[in-house]
Parts: sequence; structure tokens; C-alpha cells
Amino acid sequence: MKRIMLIIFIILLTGCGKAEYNTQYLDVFDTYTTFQAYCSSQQEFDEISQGLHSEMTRLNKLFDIYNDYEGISNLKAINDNAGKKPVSVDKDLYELIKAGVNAYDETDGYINIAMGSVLKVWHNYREEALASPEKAAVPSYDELSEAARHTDIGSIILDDDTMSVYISDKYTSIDPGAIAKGYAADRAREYLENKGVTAALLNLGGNVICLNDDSKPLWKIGVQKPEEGSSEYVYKLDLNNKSAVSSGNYQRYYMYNGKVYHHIIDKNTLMPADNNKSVTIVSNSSLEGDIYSTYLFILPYSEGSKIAEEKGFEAVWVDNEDKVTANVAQGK
Amino acid sequence: MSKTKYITYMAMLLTLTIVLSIFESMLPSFTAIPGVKLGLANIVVMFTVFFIGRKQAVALNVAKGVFAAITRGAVAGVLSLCGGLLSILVIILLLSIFKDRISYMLLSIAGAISHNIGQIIAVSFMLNVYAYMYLPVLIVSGVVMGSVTGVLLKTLMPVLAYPLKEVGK
Amino acid sequence: MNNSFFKVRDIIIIAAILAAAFILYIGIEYTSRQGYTAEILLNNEVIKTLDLREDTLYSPEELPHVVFEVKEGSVRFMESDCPDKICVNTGYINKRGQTAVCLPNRLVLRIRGNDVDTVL
Repeated sequence: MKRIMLIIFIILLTGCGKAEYNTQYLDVFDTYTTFQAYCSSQQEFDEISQGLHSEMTRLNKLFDIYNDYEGISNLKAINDNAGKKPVSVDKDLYELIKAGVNAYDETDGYINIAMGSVLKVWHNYREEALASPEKAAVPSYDELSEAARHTDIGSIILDDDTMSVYISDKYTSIDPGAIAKGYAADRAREYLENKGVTAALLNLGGNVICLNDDSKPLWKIGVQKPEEGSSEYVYKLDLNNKSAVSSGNYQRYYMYNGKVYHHIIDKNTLMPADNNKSVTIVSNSSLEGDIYSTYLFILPYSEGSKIAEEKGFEAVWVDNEDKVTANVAQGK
Repeated sequence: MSKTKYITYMAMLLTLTIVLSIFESMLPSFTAIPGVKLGLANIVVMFTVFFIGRKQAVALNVAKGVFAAITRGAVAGVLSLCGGLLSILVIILLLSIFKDRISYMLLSIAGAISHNIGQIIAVSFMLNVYAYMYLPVLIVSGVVMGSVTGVLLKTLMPVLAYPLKEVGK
Repeated sequence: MNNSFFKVRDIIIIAAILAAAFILYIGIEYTSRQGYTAEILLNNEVIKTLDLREDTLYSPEELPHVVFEVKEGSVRFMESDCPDKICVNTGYINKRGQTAVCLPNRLVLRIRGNDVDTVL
């Protein structure tokens, strides 16, 4: 209704013939991605959408820790060469890892891209449980703490001059899960701005960026009801040239004995964090939003809300009783 | 009225229509609801259909549509034309049925509503969206705006008709 | 022309027009809440449109192991051969803009129209 009204509004009052087009990608960042934009023709939209898709595919391959791609020196290559030799990488991958290292300091170590070994344990248990639910299990504390011995962020050695990355401990690996989509979403914004797109919305499976102009002064974003695959929402955000990122316990998880085991791991317990069902952060940078939504998801509300206030983020918490709490942005 | 005076007079009405359109597009939109606009130019069109003639009113609308197409693009032109023509046709239809038993106020309201409906139909065709959902709001806005233009028409009627009187018709 | 400017009778006619608009509004709100069409997209292309007013079962030719069910104005993935079953677990959807997605089968089920632009 609102959208139709806006389309008519634009045409009646400005006489400008832009219409909204949309598409979706099912093959980037292992998630369901939607893209919508205001363009003057389907052809114009298709061109932009294809360009955006190949940019996202490129970043997806660079940040992949499970697959090799011919001719690409990606994150898996860095991990494979841990304890062996430095790997020279593309600027985007280098920047991502650098941002990850910075995030460690900023979040008191809660966001640690060097936690690959621990996350891998959980990843394997999750894959196993999803493939055959009767085999579902929870890793033992011994197994997890053994893996946690190899999560020192200091093992990641960066060389700005050669843009190379070296992991000095051969059992340590990088998992960029908490930052990769945020970084990619920021690149997507740059891509769209360079293409002259002024009204667009990209939802990279929980990482949203939007561009606004007169044809779409505000994008309305629903904060998902914390259930897998749900398209119901519990809170509405109005976004204007901002990013919104949600971290939730419903995004990647498996069930064991009626309990949810999801993918956001608290470094202190090495278990899935259980203070919230989801946290959504509105910020300028999607990378920052990605980092802080995960960070605040792990922390209890009482601590997280202070940080959100300090940083001037608009944030929405859904707690374990499905109670929704939103703070009002202080402006930043 | 001599031919020269007639042409001058019609040109004046057309100019007035266009000036009012431009003036209106310059006003800040006082509501976020699309399609809700005063339709000031309709005052002149209605005056024309009431006091000059039906053919002239249709011609005025077509000219206004062409002007919109030139200055604001083909889409705006088509919208202006669809709204304007439907509006004028409804007024003419009502006048032929009810003759002098229908008030200016009602004609003005009917014109405003059908103007909105004409634009909605055009939008629906061009964009393939379900614009009909927006119909109720446009009907209500048609009633409000039609009343306003009706009152304005009553106020302006003596002024617009002045040249007619001066030449003794 | 000697039509009157305004007649008392006009008030009744105007009231009737406003009432009609109101009834229209209620009707549109009601039917749009029903959603009443769902689209199934395979590889980004609409392969089927389902009318939610008619209860039915549907399987895409390309994916015979996936079954969609339309029941009492709602639609869902009833069966799917994918490993994670996220699509099936999403359950019934019936509001404008809702989606259910099956990434392994590259299927999207969505109800047309929306009151938010995206959900995250």
C-alpha cells in the first residue's frame, strides 16, 4: 500500500518515471539475498543487479573458508598455510582481516576472527545434526577447550606492504562469520553509489543496506520474529541511507534434547550465547553493525544497552521471553 | 465576440490553466498522500465547460496534457490527459443528464473524483501495480479538493466572466 | 447556465459518496489481508502462481519431491527433499510480503505485496 502510494506520488508530483524492481540471489554467502532498486527500466535494473551479483560472488569466494577456487587466493588458502607461510591476498580480503583484528580490540575479544578452530567444532556438529537429527550431539568441554587453545588473535600477522597474511600457529584458523557479510554489504553500497543508484535496498541474509532519495525517502525494515525462516516481524525500523544488521539464534542452529544450539559462540563459555534471541543494530557502516550486533547479542541487555548508547546506535533486542526492547538513536 | 477577441480570450484561459498547474507544483505538498492535490487548473477548465463550451473545455485539457508532456515528461502528460479527459467527460455527462438540477459544488466534486480515478487507471496500466487499493483515499480527497475548487470557482467566476460581459457576449 | 451553487440535497449525496469510499476501503483492506495470491519462484523465475482462495496441492514438474499446500487462505511447503527442512519448518504463511525459502532447491514461495520492504 505504502509502496504503491509512493510510486503514484512520485509520478503524479514529479513526473519522473522510475519504478521499483526486485530480484533475489540464492547463491551468495550461503543465504537468501534480496535486492530492490528504483530504476527507469527493467534493463537498467538487470544490469545493476548482475553487476552487484558478480561483485558479491567475488567477495563470497574470497571470504570462503571451505572451498578452493581456481586462480583465487582466498581465506581458505590463508588457513591452509597456517604455520607454513604468508599468503598475499586481494585488497578486499586483506581489509576484511584487518577489520577483524581491529574488532577484537574494540569488543574486548568477544569478536575474534581467530576463533576458527572452535567454530569449526560447532560447525561439524551442526552439519552432522542437520544431516541426521538422530545423531545430534553437543561437543564436550574438553574438545572445545582444546580447540580454544588456538584462538590467539596475535597469531594473525599482517604485512601492509605486501598485503599478505600469515597465521603463525598452524592450528589456528580464521573464521570471518561475524564480519564478512557486513564488509560485503558496505562494498555493495559503494558499488551501487558508483553506478549512480540512489534508491535501493539490499538484504544480505540479515545484513541490510539501503540508499534513499526522493523516490524512496524511507525504507521500512521489519525486525524478524526470532524463528527460522519467519517473515513475520516484531518491530519496524525506518531506514535512511543506513545499515541494519540482525544477529539471532534462529539463523544457523541445530536442536539437541529440545534445546537450540546456534552459531554465535561466547568466548568465555565456548557455548552458544544465551542472553538474547536476537539483536539488531542500525548504523552507518554495515561492517560495524555486523560486529556490534554479534557483540551485543552475546552480552546481556544491561551491558549491551550501555554500549549501544555510547556508540549512538539504534538497537532492538528480542529477549528469551520474546520481549522487544528498542533504544532510540541518539544520532551519531 | 469577435474572432480575435475569442482567440485572445481562449489563449488567456489556457495560460491561466498552465500558470495554475505550475503554481500548484511549486506549492509544498501539504500531505504525504499521493494524488492529493488541489487541482487549481480544474477551476479554469470547469469555468470553460460551464460558460464557454464543451468542445473548448476538452481542447483546453488536451493542451494542458501536451504542456505537461513537454515540461515534465511523457508520463506526466499521459496522466494529466487521462485525469483531465475523464474529469471533463463526467462533468459533461452529468450536465447533459441533470441539466440545471445539479449544483456547481457537486459538479466540481464529481470532476475532482473522476480526475483522480482517471490518473489511477493510467498508473495501473503503465506500472502494472494494484493501484486500485488507493481508490478510497482518492475519492475522499476528491470530495475535499472538489469542494475547495468549487468555492474558488464561485469566487473567481465574476472575474473570469468579466471579459464576456464587457463584450456583451 | 443558471445552476445553483449548492443545494441542501448535496450534503446527502456527498455523505453517500464518502460512505461508498469507506465501504470500498473496508473491502480492499479485507481482501488484501487475505493476500490471495502466492508466487513460487524457481531460480528467480516465477514458475507458478497459486490462488490462496482455493485449497490445493502443487508440485513443480522440475522438483517432484517438493509439495506446496494451499489451505484456508494460507500456503506452505508441505514436503521437501532438502536436508535442512527450513522451508517446511517455516510453516504456513498468509500475509502480504511473507516468504518461505528453500535454498537447496532454489525455491522461493512468497505472497504478493508488502507492508515492509524487507525483514531481517
